[in-house]
Amino acid sequence: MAEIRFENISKTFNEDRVVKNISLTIKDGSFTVLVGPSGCGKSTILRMLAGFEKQTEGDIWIGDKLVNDLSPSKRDIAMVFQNYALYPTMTVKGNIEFGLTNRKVPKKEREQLVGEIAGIVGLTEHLNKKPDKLSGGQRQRVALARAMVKKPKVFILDEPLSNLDAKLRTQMRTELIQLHEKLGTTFVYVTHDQVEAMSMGDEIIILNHGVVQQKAAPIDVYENPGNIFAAEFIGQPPMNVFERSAFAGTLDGLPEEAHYIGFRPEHAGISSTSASVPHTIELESEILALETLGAETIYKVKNRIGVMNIRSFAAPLPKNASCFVTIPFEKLYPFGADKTAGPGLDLSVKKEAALNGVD
Amino acid sequence: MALIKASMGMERRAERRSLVSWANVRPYAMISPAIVVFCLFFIYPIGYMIYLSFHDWNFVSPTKEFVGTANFTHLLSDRDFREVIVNSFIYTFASVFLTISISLMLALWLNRRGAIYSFMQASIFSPHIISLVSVSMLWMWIMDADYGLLNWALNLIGIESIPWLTSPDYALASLILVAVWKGIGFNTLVFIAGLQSIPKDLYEAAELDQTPPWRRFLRLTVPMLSPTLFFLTIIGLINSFQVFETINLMTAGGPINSTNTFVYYIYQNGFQFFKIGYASAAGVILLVILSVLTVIYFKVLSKRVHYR
Repeated sequence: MAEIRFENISKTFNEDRVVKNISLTIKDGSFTVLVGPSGCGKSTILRMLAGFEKQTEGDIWIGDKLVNDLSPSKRDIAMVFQNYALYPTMTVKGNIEFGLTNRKVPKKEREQLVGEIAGIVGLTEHLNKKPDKLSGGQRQRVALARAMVKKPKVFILDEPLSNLDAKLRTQMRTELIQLHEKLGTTFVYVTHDQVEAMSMGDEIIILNHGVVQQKAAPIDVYENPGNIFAAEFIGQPPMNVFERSAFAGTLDGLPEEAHYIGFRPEHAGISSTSASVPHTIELESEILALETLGAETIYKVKNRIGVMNIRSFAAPLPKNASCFVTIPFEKLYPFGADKTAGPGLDLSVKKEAALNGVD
Repeated sequence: MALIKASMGMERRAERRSLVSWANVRPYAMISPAIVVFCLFFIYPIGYMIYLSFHDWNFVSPTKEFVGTANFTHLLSDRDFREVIVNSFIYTFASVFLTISISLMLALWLNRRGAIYSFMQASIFSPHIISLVSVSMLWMWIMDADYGLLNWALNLIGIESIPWLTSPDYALASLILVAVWKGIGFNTLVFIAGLQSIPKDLYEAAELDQTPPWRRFLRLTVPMLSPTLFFLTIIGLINSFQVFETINLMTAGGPINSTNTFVYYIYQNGFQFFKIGYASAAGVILLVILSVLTVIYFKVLSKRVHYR
């Protein structure tokens, strides 16, 4: 078990700066998820932590050990690769115990460890099969078992679920969470999938263009996004964000600092009749498109503010119909000129907006 | 209405029947040119060779005398032929083993990025594109006992001249050296391609597993390269067993039959001594040996070869 610290880490590939002066602490025993769109530098950070890439600047600490110049094998980490990277010529057992054999662990101890781990991940009856005879989920488990058997201080997982089908992915997600609880080891998990990030992480680190956008618990990221990028990245569909000018005539008395206003699609209401609820913006809108997903419906509507997504759990309205969209003042997220959510800004806005309650 | 339906059904059936027959014929029609060529230039000559191996014929005589298995019994009791078999096996196994092992080492070394490595790869490959006749001439000059480059270099460092091609002790080894020199380039290139197709994350996983280099080579690289190894070995064995040009030009099977190998022996008997039946019998034996080799390799190695 170990805390991980990145201190002023940068990485440059051929003058292309993919990681820009990042300082981070990953708590001991946490399940930390690095999430961001492709090319955001999350995999590079992971590979620098594993030791496959050397940072251009900065220090990396695992526990109380400075690992800058340590080879991957000496960092006391284990990694689950995106494509599993199982040794195709070895059996499941061979794969799991390969590292142990290399470290000259006695055969008896090896057998015991492999048996134990195989039991945990449910591979006992597949120990003598080669990876090509296994399903995607089973291969994933072999990769996990191979990592677990080393009893590392840190587990690194690089998009481990991206090759699985949707159903298996959901199942493996739960299994990984349980595994983390059982082992109590620090997990560093990279994904581009916000659902994985939200459902699995104790802490989420959102990255974009090699810069940390926000680091917080999943619910915090959802409720208090640090900037517009985080607000739009987490949540499905993403937060609707408009420039303040779009609200002119609809929402007066906005503070000077609020240059952008956003709200989440699920916080808005949609109905075929006007209700005139106090402390709420009501907008007469036209439905452009809708996705009926069973439990919920996602609308794309157009009104005087612009085109926005609305997520509703009520029975779907007909397409092309006109409707009324309501947005409570308290669910509005203001952002400053630099696209970050300024501290204290939101409260004052909500209060004032509520007081000025127009429309 | 019913009538129209019935007639439509009949039409459709007729249509389907004609479609079915053309669909059946089409594949055969398409491959027939290849089959004709294959039969004419592969099956027929093999059949004719087997037929000739049971006859005595000198190429010009209008009659071919049937002699049963006399050609074969004669061959098997012929001391020269036994030497030819031994030479062929030594030549084949030595040249294939050396070519493959040297190429593999070179490939491991050259499988990197950089101008020097690309240049080296191209340089090593260049002998492969030179015709065997030119290669033979070149090496005859290099290996000349009196004026050759090799002996000159040996003399420089104080080693006595070696009669590369003119002594029965050295001639076969010299020919193996030429075969290895010519074969290395192609083999190295194929090995490099094989090495590059091994996923990089496997090596990363092995690194995390604290794998020592030799173990990484034996447990990871070699098994992952086994399709390439298998391919190069089979091709190498079959080609080396049929060596002809270098022997014809450089040693003519000599001195004292020491470099006479299968195909050259067949050529000698067939086209110099005009013993067509006898040469055909040797050809049949070559065919059997090559078939057995191929079958053994496919059976034995295919079980141990890892195909992705």
